[in-house]
Amino acid sequence: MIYQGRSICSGSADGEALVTQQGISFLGGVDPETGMITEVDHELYGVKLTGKILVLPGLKGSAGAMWIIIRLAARGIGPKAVIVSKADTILIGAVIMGEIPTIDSLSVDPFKAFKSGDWLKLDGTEGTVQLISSGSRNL
Amino acid sequence: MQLTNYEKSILDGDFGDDAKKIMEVMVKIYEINDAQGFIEVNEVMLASTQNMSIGGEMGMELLTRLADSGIRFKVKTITDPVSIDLEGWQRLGIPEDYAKKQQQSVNALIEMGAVPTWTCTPYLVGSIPRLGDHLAWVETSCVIFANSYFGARTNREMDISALAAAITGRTPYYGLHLEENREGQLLVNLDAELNTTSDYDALGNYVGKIAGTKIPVFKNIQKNVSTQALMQLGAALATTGAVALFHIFDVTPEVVSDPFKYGKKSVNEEITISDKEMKVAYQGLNTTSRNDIDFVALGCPHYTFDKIREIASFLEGKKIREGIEVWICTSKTVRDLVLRSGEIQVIEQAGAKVVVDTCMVLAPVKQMGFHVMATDSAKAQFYVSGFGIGVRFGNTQKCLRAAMTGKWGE
Repeated sequence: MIYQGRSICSGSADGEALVTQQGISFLGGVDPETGMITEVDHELYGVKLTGKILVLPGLKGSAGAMWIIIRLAARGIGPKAVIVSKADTILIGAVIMGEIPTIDSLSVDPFKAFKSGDWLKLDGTEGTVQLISSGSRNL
Repeated sequence: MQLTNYEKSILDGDFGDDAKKIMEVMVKIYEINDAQGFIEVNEVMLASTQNMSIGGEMGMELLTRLADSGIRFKVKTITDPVSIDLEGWQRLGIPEDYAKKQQQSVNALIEMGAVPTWTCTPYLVGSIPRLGDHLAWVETSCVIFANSYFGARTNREMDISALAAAITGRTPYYGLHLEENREGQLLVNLDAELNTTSDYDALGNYVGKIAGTKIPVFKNIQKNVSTQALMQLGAALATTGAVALFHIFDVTPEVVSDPFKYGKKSVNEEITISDKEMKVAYQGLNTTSRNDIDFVALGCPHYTFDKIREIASFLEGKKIREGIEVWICTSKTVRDLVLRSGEIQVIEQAGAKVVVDTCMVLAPVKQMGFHVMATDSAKAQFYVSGFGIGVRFGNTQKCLRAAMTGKWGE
Protein backbone atom coordinates (compact mmCIF):
# COMPACT_ATOMS: atom_id res chain seq x y z
CA MET A 1 0.00 0.00 0.00
CA ILE A 2 1.56 3.32 -1.06
CA TYR A 3 0.38 6.59 0.50
CA GLN A 4 0.94 10.00 -1.04
CA GLY A 5 2.11 12.99 0.98
CA ARG A 6 4.13 16.13 0.36
CA SER A 7 7.91 16.23 0.05
CA ILE A 8 9.66 18.24 2.77
CA CYS A 9 13.18 16.83 2.41
CA SER A 10 14.27 14.56 -0.43
CA GLY A 11 16.05 11.23 -0.08
CA SER A 12 14.79 7.74 0.66
CA ALA A 13 14.89 5.37 3.61
CA ASP A 14 13.40 2.13 4.77
CA GLY A 15 13.11 1.14 8.39
CA GLU A 16 11.00 0.51 11.42
CA ALA A 17 8.29 3.01 12.35
CA LEU A 18 8.27 4.70 15.75
CA VAL A 19 4.84 6.29 16.17
CA THR A 20 3.71 8.85 18.72
CA GLN A 21 0.69 11.10 18.79
CA GLN A 22 2.47 13.46 21.21
CA GLY A 23 4.67 16.31 20.01
CA ILE A 24 8.38 16.04 20.84
CA SER A 25 10.44 18.79 22.46
CA PHE A 26 13.97 18.07 21.21
CA LEU A 27 15.68 20.77 23.30
CA GLY A 28 15.51 19.36 26.81
CA GLY A 29 13.35 16.38 25.75
CA VAL A 30 15.84 14.27 23.76
CA ASP A 31 19.40 13.42 24.82
CA PRO A 32 21.69 14.68 22.02
CA GLU A 33 24.35 12.13 23.05
CA THR A 34 22.18 9.00 22.86
CA GLY A 35 19.04 9.83 20.85
CA MET A 36 16.88 8.77 23.78
CA ILE A 37 13.65 10.56 24.68
CA THR A 38 14.15 12.02 28.15
CA GLU A 39 10.95 14.03 28.69
CA VAL A 40 9.49 12.29 31.76
CA ASP A 41 5.84 12.84 30.81
CA HIS A 42 6.24 11.62 27.22
CA GLU A 43 4.70 8.29 26.14
CA LEU A 44 8.03 7.40 24.48
CA TYR A 45 10.09 8.20 27.59
CA GLY A 46 13.25 6.10 27.59
CA VAL A 47 12.84 5.03 23.93
CA LYS A 48 15.65 5.65 21.40
CA LEU A 49 14.65 7.23 18.12
CA THR A 50 17.96 6.26 16.48
CA GLY A 51 17.49 4.68 13.04
CA LYS A 52 13.70 4.78 13.22
CA ILE A 53 11.18 6.32 10.84
CA LEU A 54 9.65 8.75 13.28
CA VAL A 55 5.90 9.40 12.88
CA LEU A 56 4.68 12.36 14.92
CA PRO A 57 2.17 15.24 14.85
CA GLY A 58 4.87 17.95 15.16
CA LEU A 59 7.49 19.56 17.36
CA LYS A 60 6.85 21.50 20.54
CA GLY A 61 8.93 23.87 22.67
CA SER A 62 12.01 25.93 21.85
CA ALA A 63 13.36 26.75 18.40
CA GLY A 64 16.71 25.40 19.69
CA ALA A 65 15.17 21.98 18.85
CA MET A 66 16.45 22.48 15.34
CA TRP A 67 20.08 22.21 16.36
CA ILE A 68 19.48 19.13 18.49
CA ILE A 69 17.98 17.34 15.45
CA ILE A 70 20.88 18.46 13.22
CA ARG A 71 23.42 17.30 15.80
CA LEU A 72 21.70 13.91 16.18
CA ALA A 73 21.72 13.49 12.38
CA ALA A 74 25.41 14.39 12.09
CA ARG A 75 26.33 11.73 14.65
CA GLY A 76 24.16 9.12 12.95
CA ILE A 77 21.94 8.67 16.00
CA GLY A 78 18.88 10.58 14.85
CA PRO A 79 15.76 9.28 13.10
CA LYS A 80 16.35 7.80 9.63
CA ALA A 81 13.30 9.56 8.20
CA VAL A 82 10.32 11.58 9.45
CA ILE A 83 6.59 11.53 8.74
CA VAL A 84 4.90 14.56 10.31
CA SER A 85 1.28 15.70 10.22
CA LYS A 86 2.25 19.26 9.27
CA ALA A 87 5.86 20.45 9.06
CA ASP A 88 6.65 23.76 10.76
CA THR A 89 9.51 26.17 10.12
CA ILE A 90 11.76 24.63 12.76
CA LEU A 91 11.33 21.08 11.48
CA ILE A 92 11.88 22.18 7.87
CA GLY A 93 15.19 23.78 8.88
CA ALA A 94 16.23 20.73 10.87
CA VAL A 95 15.53 18.03 8.28
CA ILE A 96 16.95 19.93 5.31
CA MET A 97 20.14 20.89 7.17
CA GLY A 98 20.37 17.39 8.67
CA GLU A 99 19.47 15.68 5.34
CA ILE A 100 16.67 13.57 6.87
CA PRO A 101 14.11 12.40 4.27
CA THR A 102 10.78 13.84 5.42
CA ILE A 103 7.19 14.02 4.21
CA ASP A 104 4.03 15.64 5.61
CA SER A 105 0.31 16.05 4.79
CA LEU A 106 -0.30 12.35 4.07
CA SER A 107 -3.50 11.39 2.25
CA VAL A 108 -4.37 9.14 5.24
CA ASP A 109 -4.19 9.65 8.99
CA PRO A 110 -0.65 8.37 9.72
CA PHE A 111 -1.65 7.41 13.27
CA LYS A 112 -4.30 5.04 11.90
CA ALA A 113 -2.24 3.75 8.99
CA PHE A 114 0.97 2.98 10.91
CA LYS A 115 2.01 1.64 14.27
CA SER A 116 5.37 1.27 15.98
CA GLY A 117 7.23 -1.74 14.64
CA ASP A 118 5.80 -1.53 11.09
CA TRP A 119 8.41 -1.67 8.33
CA LEU A 120 8.08 1.37 6.04
CA LYS A 121 9.71 2.50 2.82
CA LEU A 122 9.74 6.27 2.48
CA ASP A 123 10.56 8.33 -0.59
CA GLY A 124 11.11 11.92 0.48
CA THR A 125 11.61 13.14 -3.07
CA GLU A 126 8.29 11.78 -4.34
CA GLY A 127 6.57 12.42 -1.01
CA THR A 128 5.40 8.82 -0.68
CA VAL A 129 5.49 6.09 1.97
CA GLN A 130 4.87 2.39 1.58
CA LEU A 131 3.85 -0.08 4.28
CA ILE A 132 6.10 -3.12 3.65
CA SER A 133 5.09 -5.27 6.60
CA SER A 134 3.11 -4.95 9.79
CA GLY A 135 5.04 -5.19 13.02
CA SER A 136 4.23 -5.53 16.66
CA ARG A 137 2.71 -2.66 18.61
CA ASN A 138 5.00 -3.43 21.53
CA LEU A 139 8.15 -1.39 21.63
CA MET B 1 8.28 32.16 -6.84
CA GLN B 2 10.54 34.89 -8.24
CA LEU B 3 14.16 34.37 -7.18
CA THR B 4 16.91 36.87 -7.95
CA ASN B 5 19.95 35.79 -9.95
CA TYR B 6 22.01 35.92 -6.75
CA GLU B 7 19.54 33.64 -4.95
CA LYS B 8 19.52 31.26 -7.92
CA SER B 9 23.30 31.09 -7.92
CA ILE B 10 23.32 30.23 -4.21
CA LEU B 11 20.71 27.55 -4.89
CA ASP B 12 22.96 26.20 -7.67
CA GLY B 13 25.73 25.73 -5.12
CA ASP B 14 28.00 28.63 -6.16
CA PHE B 15 28.58 29.50 -2.48
CA GLY B 16 28.93 25.94 -1.27
CA ASP B 17 26.71 23.30 0.19
CA ASP B 18 25.73 25.13 3.42
CA ALA B 19 24.43 28.25 1.69
CA LYS B 20 22.63 26.03 -0.84
CA LYS B 21 20.81 24.20 1.95
CA ILE B 22 19.93 27.47 3.67
CA MET B 23 18.32 28.63 0.41
CA GLU B 24 16.47 25.31 0.10
CA VAL B 25 15.01 25.91 3.56
CA MET B 26 13.82 29.38 2.50
CA VAL B 27 12.20 27.98 -0.67
CA LYS B 28 10.48 25.20 1.28
CA ILE B 29 9.14 27.62 3.90
CA TYR B 30 7.81 29.79 1.08
CA GLU B 31 6.00 26.81 -0.49
CA ILE B 32 4.61 25.33 2.72
CA ASN B 33 3.17 28.66 3.85
CA ASP B 34 1.84 29.59 0.43
CA ALA B 35 3.71 32.90 0.67
CA GLN B 36 2.52 35.91 -1.32
CA GLY B 37 5.95 36.69 -2.74
CA PHE B 38 8.96 37.95 -0.81
CA ILE B 39 9.19 41.05 1.38
CA GLU B 40 12.40 43.03 1.98
CA VAL B 41 13.41 43.17 5.63
CA ASN B 42 15.00 46.13 7.44
CA GLU B 43 16.79 43.99 9.97
CA VAL B 44 17.61 40.39 10.80
CA MET B 45 18.38 38.87 14.19
CA LEU B 46 20.34 35.64 14.58
CA ALA B 47 20.35 33.31 17.58
CA SER B 48 21.20 29.75 18.68
CA THR B 49 23.61 28.71 15.90
CA GLN B 50 26.36 30.77 17.49
CA ASN B 51 25.72 29.50 21.03
CA MET B 52 28.12 26.84 22.25
CA SER B 53 25.23 25.57 24.38
CA ILE B 54 22.78 25.10 21.47
CA GLY B 55 24.47 25.10 18.06
CA GLY B 56 27.59 23.68 19.68
CA GLU B 57 30.65 22.92 17.58
CA MET B 58 28.48 22.16 14.54
CA GLY B 59 26.99 25.64 14.66
CA MET B 60 30.47 27.10 15.01
CA GLU B 61 31.74 25.11 12.02
CA LEU B 62 28.74 26.08 9.89
CA LEU B 63 29.28 29.80 10.55
CA THR B 64 33.00 29.48 9.85
CA ARG B 65 32.42 27.68 6.54
CA LEU B 66 29.82 30.27 5.49
CA ALA B 67 32.21 33.14 6.23
CA ASP B 68 35.01 31.34 4.34
CA SER B 69 32.75 30.74 1.32
CA GLY B 70 32.45 34.48 0.84
CA ILE B 71 28.90 34.93 2.17
CA ARG B 72 28.26 38.46 3.45
CA PHE B 73 25.04 39.75 5.01
CA LYS B 74 22.93 41.98 2.80
CA VAL B 75 21.01 43.77 5.58
CA LYS B 76 21.72 44.88 9.12
CA THR B 77 22.02 41.68 11.15
CA ILE B 78 22.07 41.79 14.94
CA THR B 79 23.04 38.99 17.29
CA ASP B 80 21.49 37.29 20.32
CA PRO B 81 23.73 36.53 23.35
CA VAL B 82 26.36 33.79 23.23
CA SER B 83 27.38 31.31 25.94
CA ILE B 84 30.14 33.37 27.59
CA ASP B 85 30.83 36.92 28.76
CA LEU B 86 33.25 37.72 25.93
CA GLU B 87 35.59 39.76 28.10
CA GLY B 88 34.79 38.48 31.59
CA TRP B 89 34.46 34.70 31.01
CA GLN B 90 37.42 33.90 33.24
CA ARG B 91 35.93 35.48 36.33
CA LEU B 92 32.74 33.46 35.72
CA GLY B 93 34.80 30.24 35.79
CA ILE B 94 34.10 29.23 32.17
CA PRO B 95 36.73 26.79 30.77
CA GLU B 96 39.24 28.30 28.31
CA ASP B 97 38.66 25.72 25.59
CA TYR B 98 34.92 26.47 25.64
CA ALA B 99 35.56 30.22 25.51
CA LYS B 100 37.95 29.87 22.55
CA LYS B 101 35.42 27.91 20.50
CA GLN B 102 32.74 30.46 21.35
CA GLN B 103 35.03 33.24 20.14
CA GLN B 104 35.36 31.51 16.76
CA SER B 105 31.58 31.76 16.07
CA VAL B 106 31.71 35.39 17.12
CA ASN B 107 34.55 36.10 14.68
CA ALA B 108 32.77 34.35 11.80
CA LEU B 109 29.59 36.38 12.33
CA ILE B 110 31.51 39.65 12.49
CA GLU B 111 33.36 38.69 9.30
CA MET B 112 30.01 38.24 7.53
CA GLY B 113 28.99 41.71 8.65
CA ALA B 114 26.89 41.07 11.77
CA VAL B 115 26.53 43.80 14.39
CA PRO B 116 28.15 42.40 17.56
CA THR B 117 25.26 43.26 19.88
CA TRP B 118 25.16 39.87 21.71
CA THR B 119 21.97 40.83 23.49
CA CYS B 120 18.34 39.75 23.64
CA THR B 121 17.26 43.38 24.12
CA PRO B 122 18.71 44.90 20.92
CA TYR B 123 15.98 47.57 21.02
CA LEU B 124 17.86 49.09 23.97
CA VAL B 125 21.04 49.43 21.95
CA GLY B 126 20.02 50.86 18.62
CA SER B 127 17.57 48.48 16.97
CA ILE B 128 14.45 50.60 17.02
CA PRO B 129 11.92 49.30 14.51
CA ARG B 130 9.06 51.51 13.38
CA LEU B 131 5.36 50.70 13.09
CA GLY B 132 4.91 48.42 10.08
CA ASP B 133 8.63 47.69 9.52
CA HIS B 134 9.36 44.16 8.28
CA LEU B 135 11.98 42.17 10.20
CA ALA B 136 13.25 38.59 10.43
CA TRP B 137 14.06 38.12 14.11
CA VAL B 138 14.63 34.85 15.93
CA GLU B 139 14.82 35.07 19.70
CA THR B 140 11.26 34.68 20.96
CA SER B 141 11.23 37.53 23.51
CA CYS B 142 12.57 39.90 20.84
CA VAL B 143 10.06 38.74 18.26
CA ILE B 144 7.11 39.38 20.56
CA PHE B 145 8.53 42.74 21.70
CA ALA B 146 9.12 43.96 18.12
CA ASN B 147 5.62 42.93 17.04
CA SER B 148 3.80 44.22 20.12
CA TYR B 149 5.66 47.24 21.52
CA PHE B 150 6.76 48.70 18.19
CA GLY B 151 4.10 47.29 15.87
CA ALA B 152 6.85 46.00 13.57
CA ARG B 153 6.24 42.75 11.69
CA THR B 154 8.19 39.54 12.07
CA ASN B 155 7.35 35.86 12.17
CA ARG B 156 8.93 33.63 14.80
CA GLU B 157 11.95 32.81 12.67
CA MET B 158 14.52 30.13 13.42
CA ASP B 159 18.25 30.41 12.79
CA ILE B 160 18.32 29.00 9.29
CA SER B 161 15.39 31.03 7.92
CA ALA B 162 16.94 34.11 9.55
CA LEU B 163 20.33 33.33 7.98
CA ALA B 164 18.52 33.10 4.62
CA ALA B 165 17.02 36.55 5.26
CA ALA B 166 20.43 37.94 6.26
CA ILE B 167 22.00 36.57 3.08
CA THR B 168 19.22 37.62 0.68
CA GLY B 169 17.76 40.67 2.44
CA ARG B 170 14.24 39.31 2.21
CA THR B 171 11.83 36.78 3.64
CA PRO B 172 8.71 34.93 2.44
CA TYR B 173 5.65 37.17 2.79
CA TYR B 174 3.22 35.29 5.05
CA GLY B 175 2.01 35.05 8.65
CA LEU B 176 2.54 38.12 10.83
CA HIS B 177 3.85 40.17 7.89
CA LEU B 178 0.23 40.33 6.72
CA GLU B 179 -2.10 42.80 8.41
CA GLU B 180 -5.05 40.38 8.54
CA ASN B 181 -3.11 37.97 10.77
CA ARG B 182 -2.41 40.53 13.50
CA GLU B 183 -5.83 41.01 15.09
CA GLY B 184 -6.38 40.12 18.75
CA GLN B 185 -8.08 36.80 19.48
CA LEU B 186 -8.05 36.25 23.25
CA LEU B 187 -9.31 39.08 25.48
CA VAL B 188 -7.57 39.12 28.88
CA ASN B 189 -9.37 41.20 31.52
CA LEU B 190 -6.93 42.12 34.26
CA ASP B 191 -8.58 42.24 37.67
CA ALA B 192 -5.44 42.20 39.84
CA GLU B 193 -3.00 44.89 40.91
CA LEU B 194 0.45 44.43 39.35
CA ASN B 195 3.25 46.02 41.35
CA THR B 196 6.61 44.53 40.41
CA THR B 197 8.09 43.55 37.05
CA SER B 198 7.86 39.91 38.20
CA ASP B 199 4.09 40.29 38.43
CA TYR B 200 4.20 40.78 34.65
CA ASP B 201 6.30 37.60 34.35
CA ALA B 202 3.68 35.67 36.31
CA LEU B 203 0.87 37.15 34.21
CA GLY B 204 2.63 36.22 30.95
CA ASN B 205 3.41 32.74 32.23
CA TYR B 206 -0.25 32.10 33.08
CA VAL B 207 -1.76 33.64 29.95
CA GLY B 208 0.80 32.00 27.61
CA LYS B 209 -0.44 28.55 28.61
CA ILE B 210 -4.00 29.48 27.69
CA ALA B 211 -3.16 31.47 24.58
CA GLY B 212 -1.08 28.80 22.77
CA THR B 213 -0.75 30.38 19.32
CA LYS B 214 -3.53 32.96 19.83
CA ILE B 215 -2.94 36.72 19.99
CA PRO B 216 -3.91 38.05 23.45
CA VAL B 217 -5.37 41.53 24.01
CA PHE B 218 -4.98 42.87 27.55
CA LYS B 219 -7.47 45.20 29.18
CA ASN B 220 -6.81 47.30 32.32
CA ILE B 221 -3.02 47.34 32.29
CA GLN B 222 -1.99 50.80 33.48
CA LYS B 223 -1.02 53.22 30.76
CA ASN B 224 2.30 54.16 32.37
CA VAL B 225 3.51 50.55 32.61
CA SER B 226 7.34 50.41 32.40
CA THR B 227 9.22 49.15 29.37
CA GLN B 228 10.96 46.58 31.60
CA ALA B 229 7.56 45.22 32.70
CA LEU B 230 6.48 44.80 29.06
CA MET B 231 9.76 43.04 28.27
CA GLN B 232 9.02 40.58 31.10
CA LEU B 233 5.40 40.08 29.97
CA GLY B 234 6.43 39.32 26.40
CA ALA B 235 9.28 36.97 27.31
CA ALA B 236 6.99 34.98 29.62
CA LEU B 237 4.13 34.78 27.06
CA ALA B 238 6.55 33.53 24.40
CA THR B 239 7.88 30.85 26.75
CA THR B 240 4.72 29.02 27.83
CA GLY B 241 2.89 29.83 24.60
CA ALA B 242 3.92 30.13 20.96
CA VAL B 243 2.78 33.74 21.25
CA ALA B 244 4.49 36.19 18.89
CA LEU B 245 2.25 39.25 19.36
CA PHE B 246 0.08 40.78 22.07
CA HIS B 247 -1.91 44.00 22.26
CA ILE B 248 -2.66 46.17 25.31
CA PHE B 249 -5.53 48.66 25.15
CA ASP B 250 -4.26 52.26 25.43
CA VAL B 251 -0.63 51.11 25.34
CA THR B 252 0.58 49.22 22.25
CA PRO B 253 0.48 51.05 18.90
CA GLU B 254 -1.72 48.87 16.70
CA VAL B 255 -4.62 48.63 19.14
CA VAL B 256 -4.23 52.32 20.01
CA SER B 257 -4.51 53.18 16.30
CA ASP B 258 -7.58 50.98 15.80
CA PRO B 259 -9.12 49.55 19.00
CA PHE B 260 -11.96 47.84 17.16
CA LYS B 261 -9.91 46.13 14.48
CA TYR B 262 -7.08 44.87 16.72
CA GLY B 263 -8.90 44.64 20.03
CA LYS B 264 -12.44 43.41 19.36
CA LYS B 265 -13.16 42.27 15.82
CA SER B 266 -11.56 38.81 15.94
CA VAL B 267 -11.79 38.14 19.67
CA ASN B 268 -13.48 34.78 20.24
CA GLU B 269 -12.42 33.95 23.79
CA GLU B 270 -12.28 35.93 27.02
CA ILE B 271 -10.58 35.28 30.36
CA THR B 272 -10.18 37.21 33.61
CA ILE B 273 -7.00 37.26 35.68
CA SER B 274 -7.58 38.01 39.35
CA ASP B 275 -5.35 37.66 42.43
CA LYS B 276 -6.26 33.97 42.53
CA GLU B 277 -4.77 33.26 39.07
CA MET B 278 -1.70 35.36 39.92
CA LYS B 279 -1.14 33.24 43.02
CA VAL B 280 -1.43 30.02 41.00
CA ALA B 281 1.15 31.37 38.53
CA TYR B 282 3.63 32.24 41.30
CA GLN B 283 3.24 28.80 42.86
CA GLY B 284 3.77 27.03 39.55
CA LEU B 285 6.94 29.02 38.92
CA ASN B 286 8.67 27.60 42.00
CA THR B 287 10.03 24.23 40.87
CA THR B 288 11.91 23.34 44.03
CA SER B 289 11.06 23.32 47.71
CA ARG B 290 14.70 23.84 48.61
CA ASN B 291 15.49 27.17 50.26
CA ASP B 292 19.31 27.01 50.18
CA ILE B 293 20.07 29.20 47.19
CA ASP B 294 23.58 29.13 45.63
CA PHE B 295 22.91 31.15 42.47
CA VAL B 296 20.87 34.30 41.95
CA ALA B 297 20.42 35.24 38.29
CA LEU B 298 18.59 38.38 37.20
CA GLY B 299 18.19 40.08 33.84
CA CYS B 300 16.22 37.79 31.52
CA PRO B 301 15.64 39.46 29.11
CA HIS B 302 18.78 41.62 29.46
CA TYR B 303 18.03 44.43 31.88
CA THR B 304 17.42 48.09 31.10
CA PHE B 305 19.49 50.93 32.58
CA ASP B 306 16.57 51.83 34.90
CA LYS B 307 16.34 48.35 36.35
CA ILE B 308 20.08 48.15 37.08
CA ARG B 309 19.92 51.55 38.76
CA GLU B 310 17.06 50.25 40.92
CA ILE B 311 19.19 47.25 41.94
CA ALA B 312 22.22 49.42 42.75
CA SER B 313 20.07 51.60 44.95
CA PHE B 314 18.81 48.50 46.80
CA LEU B 315 22.28 46.98 47.21
CA GLU B 316 24.04 50.16 48.35
CA GLY B 317 25.93 49.41 51.56
CA LYS B 318 24.74 45.78 51.64
CA LYS B 319 26.73 42.54 51.21
CA ILE B 320 25.98 39.38 49.24
CA ARG B 321 26.57 36.30 51.38
CA GLU B 322 29.91 34.52 50.85
CA GLY B 323 29.68 31.63 48.38
CA ILE B 324 26.59 32.87 46.57
CA GLU B 325 27.03 33.77 42.92
CA VAL B 326 24.91 36.70 41.74
CA TRP B 327 24.58 37.56 38.05
CA ILE B 328 22.88 40.69 36.77
CA CYS B 329 22.67 40.18 33.03
CA THR B 330 22.58 42.94 30.43
CA SER B 331 24.22 44.06 27.20
CA LYS B 332 27.74 45.47 27.00
CA THR B 333 26.31 48.79 25.83
CA VAL B 334 23.98 49.21 28.81
CA ARG B 335 26.80 48.06 31.11
CA ASP B 336 29.03 50.86 29.83
CA LEU B 337 26.36 53.42 30.71
CA VAL B 338 25.91 52.02 34.19
CA LEU B 339 29.67 51.94 34.67
CA ARG B 340 29.93 55.63 33.84
CA SER B 341 27.09 56.57 36.16
CA GLY B 342 28.65 54.63 39.04
CA GLU B 343 26.07 51.92 39.71
CA ILE B 344 28.34 49.06 38.62
CA GLN B 345 30.82 49.97 41.33
CA VAL B 346 28.05 49.83 43.96
CA ILE B 347 26.78 46.48 42.68
CA GLU B 348 30.22 44.86 42.46
CA GLN B 349 31.17 46.19 45.89
CA ALA B 350 28.16 44.37 47.31
CA GLY B 351 29.55 41.18 45.75
CA ALA B 352 27.29 40.78 42.68
CA LYS B 353 28.53 40.56 39.08
CA VAL B 354 27.18 42.49 36.13
CA VAL B 355 27.43 39.91 33.34
CA VAL B 356 27.27 40.82 29.64
CA ASP B 357 26.96 39.05 26.24
CA THR B 358 25.39 35.98 27.87
CA CYS B 359 22.91 34.91 30.56
CA MET B 360 21.77 32.12 32.89
CA VAL B 361 19.95 30.36 30.04
CA LEU B 362 22.84 30.29 27.53
CA ALA B 363 25.95 29.96 29.71
CA PRO B 364 26.84 26.40 30.83
CA VAL B 365 25.36 26.92 34.33
CA LYS B 366 24.63 23.23 34.98
CA GLN B 367 28.24 22.25 34.23
CA MET B 368 29.35 25.12 36.47
CA GLY B 369 27.81 23.25 39.38
CA PHE B 370 24.90 25.40 40.59
CA HIS B 371 22.10 23.57 42.41
CA VAL B 372 19.37 26.04 43.37
CA MET B 373 18.81 29.28 41.47
CA ALA B 374 16.66 32.26 42.37
CA THR B 375 15.38 34.48 39.57
CA ASP B 376 12.85 37.21 38.87
CA SER B 377 12.24 35.98 35.32
CA ALA B 378 9.59 33.43 34.30
CA LYS B 379 11.50 32.68 31.09
CA ALA B 380 14.74 31.93 32.94
CA GLN B 381 12.76 29.84 35.42
CA PHE B 382 11.42 27.62 32.61
CA TYR B 383 14.66 26.95 30.74
CA VAL B 384 16.97 26.63 33.75
CA SER B 385 14.51 24.19 35.40
CA GLY B 386 14.85 22.14 32.20
CA PHE B 387 18.61 21.82 32.82
CA GLY B 388 17.85 20.07 36.10
CA ILE B 389 18.57 23.01 38.41
CA GLY B 390 15.95 23.77 41.11
CA VAL B 391 14.49 27.24 40.64
CA ARG B 392 12.89 29.75 43.01
CA PHE B 393 10.93 32.55 41.37
CA GLY B 394 10.04 35.85 43.04
CA ASN B 395 10.39 39.59 42.61
CA THR B 396 13.77 41.28 42.23
CA GLN B 397 14.08 42.41 45.86
CA LYS B 398 13.16 38.98 47.16
CA CYS B 399 15.90 37.45 44.99
CA LEU B 400 18.43 39.99 46.25
CA ARG B 401 17.45 39.33 49.87
CA ALA B 402 18.04 35.62 49.21
CA ALA B 403 21.47 36.57 47.85
CA MET B 404 22.29 38.32 51.13
CA THR B 405 21.02 35.58 53.45
CA GLY B 406 21.51 32.46 51.32
CA LYS B 407 17.93 31.50 52.15
CA TRP B 408 14.76 31.86 50.10
CA GLY B 409 12.36 33.79 52.33
CA GLU B 410 8.68 32.99 52.53
